[in-house]
Parts: sequence; structure tokens; C-alpha cells
Amino acid sequence: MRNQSEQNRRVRPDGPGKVTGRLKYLTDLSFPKMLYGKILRSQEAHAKIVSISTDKAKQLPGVRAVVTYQDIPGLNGYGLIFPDQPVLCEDRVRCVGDALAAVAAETEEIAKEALKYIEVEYSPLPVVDSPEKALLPDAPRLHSDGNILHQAEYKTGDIIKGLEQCSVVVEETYELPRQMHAYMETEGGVIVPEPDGKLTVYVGTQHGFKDRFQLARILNMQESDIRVVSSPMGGSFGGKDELNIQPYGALLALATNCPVKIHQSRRESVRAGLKRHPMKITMKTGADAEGNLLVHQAKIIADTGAYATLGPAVLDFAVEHAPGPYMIPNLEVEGLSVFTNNGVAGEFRGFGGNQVTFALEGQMDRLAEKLQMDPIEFRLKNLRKQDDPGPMGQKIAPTNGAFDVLNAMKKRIGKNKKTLSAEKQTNRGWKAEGIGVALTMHGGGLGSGRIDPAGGRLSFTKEGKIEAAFGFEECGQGLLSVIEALVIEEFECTPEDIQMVIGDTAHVPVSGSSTASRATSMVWHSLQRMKTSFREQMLELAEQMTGEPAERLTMGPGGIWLKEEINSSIPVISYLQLAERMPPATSITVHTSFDFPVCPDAVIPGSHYLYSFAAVLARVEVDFLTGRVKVLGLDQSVSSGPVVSPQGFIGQIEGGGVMALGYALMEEALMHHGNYQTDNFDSYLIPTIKDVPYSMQVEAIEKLAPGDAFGPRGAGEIGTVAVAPAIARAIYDAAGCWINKLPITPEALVKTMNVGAMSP
Amino acid sequence: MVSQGTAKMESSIVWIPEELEIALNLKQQFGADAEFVAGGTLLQTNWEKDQPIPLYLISLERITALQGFKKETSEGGPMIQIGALTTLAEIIQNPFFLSNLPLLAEAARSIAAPAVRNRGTIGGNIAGGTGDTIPAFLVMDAHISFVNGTEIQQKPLEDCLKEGILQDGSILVSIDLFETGGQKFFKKVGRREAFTPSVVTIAGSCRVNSNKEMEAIRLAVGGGSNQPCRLEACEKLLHGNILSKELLEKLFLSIMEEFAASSDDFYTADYKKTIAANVIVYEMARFAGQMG
Repeated sequence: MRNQSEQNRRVRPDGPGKVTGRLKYLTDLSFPKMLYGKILRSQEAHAKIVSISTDKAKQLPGVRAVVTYQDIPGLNGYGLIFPDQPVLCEDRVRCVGDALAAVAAETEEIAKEALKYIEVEYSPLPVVDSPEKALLPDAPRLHSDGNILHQAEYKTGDIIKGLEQCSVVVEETYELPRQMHAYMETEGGVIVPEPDGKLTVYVGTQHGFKDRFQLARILNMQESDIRVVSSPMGGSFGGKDELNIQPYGALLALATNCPVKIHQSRRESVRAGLKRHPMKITMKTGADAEGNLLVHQAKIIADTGAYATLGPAVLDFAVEHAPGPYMIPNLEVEGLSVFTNNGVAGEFRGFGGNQVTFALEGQMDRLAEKLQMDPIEFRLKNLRKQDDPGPMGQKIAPTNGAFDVLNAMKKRIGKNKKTLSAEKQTNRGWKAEGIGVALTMHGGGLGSGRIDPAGGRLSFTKEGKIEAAFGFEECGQGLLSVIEALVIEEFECTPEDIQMVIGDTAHVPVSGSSTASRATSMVWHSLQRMKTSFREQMLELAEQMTGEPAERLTMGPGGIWLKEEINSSIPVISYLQLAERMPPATSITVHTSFDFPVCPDAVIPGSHYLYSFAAVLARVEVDFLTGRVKVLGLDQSVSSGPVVSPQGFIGQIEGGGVMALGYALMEEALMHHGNYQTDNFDSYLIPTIKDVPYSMQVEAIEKLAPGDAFGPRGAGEIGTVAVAPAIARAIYDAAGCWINKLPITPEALVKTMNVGAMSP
Repeated sequence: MVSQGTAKMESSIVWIPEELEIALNLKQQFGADAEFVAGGTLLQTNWEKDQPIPLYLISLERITALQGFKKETSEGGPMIQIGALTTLAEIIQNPFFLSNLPLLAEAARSIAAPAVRNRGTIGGNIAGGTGDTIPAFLVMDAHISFVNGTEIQQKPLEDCLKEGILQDGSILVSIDLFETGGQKFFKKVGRREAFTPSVVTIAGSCRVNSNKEMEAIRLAVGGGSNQPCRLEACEKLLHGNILSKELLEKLFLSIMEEFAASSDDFYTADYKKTIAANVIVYEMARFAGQMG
């Protein structure tokens, strides 16, 4: 029983603090005796380290500590899957983000100056600046096992036989760029040494418990001696799941016994931070004369940069999603994730789905064109049905999402009476408009076989609050709104009755990471598991306190009510009174822990079970004089189950859409021989408010298949996935040019269109 | 650059004179160790990229001789004088500019973003050498009043650019404009819709007489890494002629030849030339009443 308009009016819990500037982010914190830390990053993209000398730096007045690899008590390595990235390099650097030393000083200026006094002698090695070069037989080996981080593949049917039956085949290579998360708040925070050798780490992260685990390993400490305070963050988008500045702050804090603040400048963040995997994807897709898809071959090469981080998982995800929501009998997908000296690529909203969907939808559009079929009809013809298996033939939770969203788009286009055909109007000053539609499906959670724990805790506090505690993080996505909305819905209480605890390993249960579009879903699942026990205990306690039988009572706004009187008079007992009269020995606390739902008989590691779907309608205007593209409309229909927080949902889809607009039209972290050319926001451009359509329609299709008890799916990523291919198709509609490479550049359009003032 | 919560090791000394003469004396006294600054919006981006901050900064912000704007009638006709300290925001918002110099207002609107425009000055936009208003001023036949020694001199903007006058310690005092009439266009092509460096900035003006001949043609390019200048050969090509399809084709080729663009990380010289040629040809055709 959700009151939609009440929900829409509800102000998000962290809203006022954020817009007034009252809210303190972790990078805003200050402590007494606090020092400032700076990290020395490698000058070379690939080199042997001949020597490191910190003597001069240590002598600079105001410098309190300088640490190198020699000062690491435990494992000199980190990484969410393989800890192959050195905390502080000893004999070799593999990218410009590699750290060699860290300094703590009395002022940030002194720390910055001290870096100049650290003497590092490099012996440069050949820079491997592309996967192609890394795969050559005589390429320098970047790791002991060679230059291939991970391989993944999926095959079914018979490609050769299938090709024989095709009457149209499209083969194309798609190139996807290196994108930056561009979170507003860069990596940073304060690490504070506590009495008894303990440590508190006030640094934003998507997974406090995992940071604790990694830090304990590096510092040779007990996990329980490290407390991570991790929220709120000014954005993350996948870039703050992995460790970043925490090890350096910790080492310096322990060395100086003072709080140490590190807050990376934007340029430092560009240099050291993770990026989206650039990929080259070659696809060969074929259909028969009636438009039935018969064959789909995909080769994916991902540039994973210098270290593993989540590279293997990203590749697995891309391989899994290469066939998308289409039923294709003969499939061959191969993926390779390759080490290079190009920074480090890792987790990024969309997680390999963006790249492979751009390619897949590009294939669908080209095939439809060759077959002279309407692009939507062509897709509908080959679309998965409710009970069909997932993209790799695995059993997935039945869903009609693909059809629902595509059909919604079809209706939307029909209403506007626009057709997907080219329309060039020369009397509009050499501009033309076009529309394009794209579709995607996106798996939530980490996939089968991965450690994907979830959990939560509900308690009734001594102050009379219903406390909901989760190990998830608020990066701005609206997690707090979600928790609040779900608790209110479940117990019919008010926001004032609730207390939420997140982002502090000292106070929250294990919930797994805030990633993979899982948090909303996992909060819902946790509450489903805890609500009955919690409610029973509350009502029993109320019965004890008031004498009213529990069967007649219900939880409600402000307290416990008689069922028939709810909202009509006053509660039988308020939550505050209940807490005050609660016997001292009594406590009401319910825990739950479980794993993210995966297919019961999943065979392929990493394959997903719960999927979200989105269809995007893009409308663009192409300027033939300059090749520039303006996005006039960007509408999305999304099927991800019930919407928990309407404002949050819209924010995720619109925000994701804008992020993807940037990916499509302007964002590329350009590298040259392993060095970043675009080192700040004056050269790495992200969309401004003027680049974004004034109105973006977001439609949520909330219905689930009959019997689906899995509740809300995640909507954090899906808004980013199908936007670029929709824009590309809209450009084809307007200008007759196919786009194979992102970001779409005006220069490429001008060349392809070959339109100058010379041709009328 | 000073960041919150830190102390600089060495701070620059900032002078804020109220008289032009004092500012010039200070520059002479400190020479290369001193730089003029007004809004500082361009300089600040250089300092952020670790370009050295000069020991002395001589702020021009309080000098009254550089403030204000007016329109007067002189023997040569109406003249508009814009003080160097006039901000870009003023140019966009003040009805004086919207009615008298709409082309300039359009150019100013294309620069940076509101917060930057509140500080950025028209003098700085020109003195920096790469400002997007420069092509607009070139087609408006702007003259620059500047001072180095004791006297204020006036020269056409193009000569100032060619002679590097604003890089040698002169202070730009005002921009002086005489009515030129005719139709004008301005286009800045960036890498996104707003708050963007220029790929190429283009401006043009011309008159079409009763015989359909083109006269008083001015074409200018600049922006970003492009040296701001007039395309004089192209202007000559059009002057006194009636616009025809053949002439437009010749114009296109002439622009491709005359515009000395250079490639950068994002766009090739060929692209910059092509779009400049496209835009100019389109606008000239539009002015001459030939569309289609």
C-alpha cells in the first residue's frame, strides 16, 4: 500500500544537508594535530626502479614521515580479486598511477614540495600501449603469467552451419573509449590512529568491510582493529569500490601517530583513478530472409591496463551480455582481457554491458536496414519471451521485461507520428533531425559462484526509534531514501520514527558491496526476511506493556495502534513510551544474512539470474556544417520491478542517461604512450546542463512475471547502457552515417557525410 | 595556488593601484617578475597547470580609466568605447550592448560559464590572445586604445595582434568601435554546447548593395589554438562581386587555403578548415539571399 504522491513529496533524508552545504563529507573532516599526505606517482608508464631515496625529503622542515615499500608491514599488494597492484612499488612501475612513496607533512604545500625531493631513478622499459602490442609474441611481459589477465567464452550451436543459412550477414568492429567516472568528490579522507594501535579510516568507499579486509592484509593488523567510516560520498559510480588512498593514509598515520588527511586533486585523481575498460569488439551477425537471427559471433578485446582489479569480472559480464535479449541459436562469444601500461581499468557503472550493447545494438540496426525491416519489428521478432533462458542459456527468473520496454517505446514513437526514416531538411540551415531506439538487458548482483553476501539488521533503540542498519554506502544514489521508503512502507511509520545506520564498520552488519545494481534489491530482501520477527517482537512487547493482545495491534505512525483505530485517534503506546518502559534486559534486534539470488543450477560462473531491461528513444539534431550532434530528447522505459523511491529512480535513470550521453558524444580519457593527455575537466569534457535535453521522460514498468517474489531489481546501472546505441541510430536516421566508434566526433561525421557547402 | 587549510611557502605580492600611471611604473620596476591581472580567469587555469605564478601581480581592477562604456558622436560618426574592465557578464546582460552590439553580446555568451563571466573582462579576453571575442571585434573594425609609456595610443586590433602589442607590457585601456553597418554573423564551434574551449571561432560581416554586389566584407577566424586573424584573400575574392554558386565554391577553396589551422589532440587542421569554410560559405550565401 504505497501512497505515490506522498512518496513523491518526501524529501530525501540527506537532501537538506547536502544542498545547504551543512553536510560534512569525509574529505571535509579535520582533526587535531592532523597532517597532510601526498602520494608520489610514477613518472614513467613502464620502467624498472633502479633506486628510491627519501633522505632529502625527510629533512625538509615540516615533513613528519616518508614511506616506501620498505615500510609495509604486511602484503605489499591490493586488488579486489587478485592483490597484484603494489601499494608502493619496489622494483617496477607499470603505469603512471603507480605509487612509489607517500609523505605526511604539516601543510599540504609542504607535502607537495617534499615530493619533489624524493629521488627516483628509473630505467625505462618499452611502453605497451595497446592490447594488440601486448599480444605480440615478443611483447614485454607485464606480469609473471604474461599479458593476458583473463579469457572467457561461450559457445552454442554451429556457427558454420548457421552462416550457410543466412541471407544477410553484418560484420563490424566497434571501438569503445576509456571513460572516467568523474565523481564530483575525488578520492580522500582522514585516517586516524586510535589508542591500542587501532585505526579509524574516514574515507569514502563502496565497501567498508572489504576495505577493512584489504587494509588488514597490508598493515598486518586484525580486521577488528580497523574501523572504516565510509559514507557519505560525493559520487562513486564504481570508482571507489577498490582501494585508493587508504593504504597511504594508514601507513602515514601509523608512522606519525597523527591523523593524516589525503585528498587527491582532480589531476591526481585522473592519473591514479580507475577508468572504464576500452574495448574493441568485432561482431559477425547473420539472419535469414525472414529476419530470424541465426548466427552471432563476437570477439571482445579489453584493455585492462596495468593491474587486475575487477578486470576478469568485467570481461565475464561483457561476454555474458553479448547476445543480449535476443534468441540466437548459434552463438560464439570470445573475450580477452589484456594487460597494458595504460593506467588501470576497472569497475564502472554498466560493467562491460555498455561496450557490448553498443556493438550488439549496432548489429541489430545494420541487419534491420539490410533486411529493410523496421528496427523495432526486427528486434521484436527475435526477442526473448517470458520463460526463455538467459543470454548464455542459463535459467533466469522469468520476465517479460524485454517485450514490455520495447513495446512501450514502440507506442511512444507511434504517438509522436515520427518514423525511423531519414529526413534531411535543407531549409533548416543544414540541420536534420533523427530518432533511434536501442534495447538492453542487464544482470544484477555479482553473478553465480561469486561471494555475494547480503544482510541487514533491525533494532528498536532505547530512544524509541526503529533502527535499520545496512553495510551499504550512500554515494548520492539515494540509498537512504530507499531504506526509509521500504521501512515506512513495511511498518507504516513516519520518517521521524526511523533511524538509519550505514557506512560504519563498527555499527553495521555485512551487506556486501554497494555495486552491481544490488543495494536496493538487497535492502528489500533483507527487510522481507526480518519484518515478521521484528514485528512480532514489537507487538509482543507492546502487549506486555499495555495489556492489549498482540493480535489486535499493529505498528503505525508514531507508535503501536489498535488495528481498527490506525490513523484515526492516537496510538495505544508511542514508540518512545515503549522504549522508556521496556525492561532493561530486553532488546529487540533482528539480523539477517544471505546471498544474492542466483540461479539454483547455474553452471557458468558469473552468470546472472535477475535482470533489468531498458529501451531508449533518442532524438538528435545533426548540423551538417560542423558535424556537431545535439541530443534533443532522451526517453527511457525501464523494467526493474517495483519502484521503491520514485525520485531516486528518476535520478538514477536520468543521471545514467546523461553519463551515457557523455560517453557517446564527448568523453575519452586520451592516452599517449601510457600518459594521460586529458588531465582535467578543461580537456576531458563531461556534459553541461546545456548538452542535456530539457525534458527526459522516464517510464517505469513495474510489473513482474506471475509468481516473481524477488521484488525490486536494481536501477543503478541500466540507465547508462542503451543510450549510446540509440544516439548512434538517431544519427544514422538524420545523416545516413553509421557510427562504429565512441565518442562520436563531429570530425568523423563530417568526413563520412562528405557534405560541404559544395554539395547542395 | 592557495588551497583551503594550507599556507603557501611563498606568496605572490599583489599590488592594487588606482591609477594607470602607478600600474605602469610598477611593471617597469619589477619587469618580468610582475604580471598584470584583472579577472584572472584565464591566468588561474594556467597556474593550476603548474605554470609559475609571478612574484608580483599588478591588479588592474580599481583603475577607473579602464572602467565603464559609452556611446558618443564624433566626426567619424557614432563611436562606442568599451572600458577594458567591462565584464563579459555585463556585455551579455546590459541593454546597452544588446541593442548597440548584439554580435559582441552573442560572442560573450559563448564564452565560459556564468561564474567565470562575472569575473572575466573584455580586456582580458583580448589581451590573452586567444579570446573568442577577437574574431567578432575584427569584423567590427575595432580599434584598441592602449598605453605603454605615457601616452594612450590607438591602433586597429589587427595591427595590435600582428605587432604583439599586448604581450609587451602594455595595458589595454579600451576597445573603440565605429559603426560599420551591414549584416554580421558569429559562430563558435566548441567541443560541447557550453563552457567549452573553442575548436574554431568564426565571424563575418558584409553589405550587399542594390546591384547585389558584395562590399565591406570582413571575415575572421580564431578561437582555441587558432591565431586570430582576418582572411584577407577571401575578402578580396568576394569584394565587388555578385555571389554565385561558382564564387561560393571558389570561396570554399580559398578559405581552405588561407586559414592556417593546426591539428590538436581532438581535431585535425583539415576538420577545422572544413567547418570554417562550411560556416562562412553558408552565412555569405544567406546574406546574399541565396539559400537552398
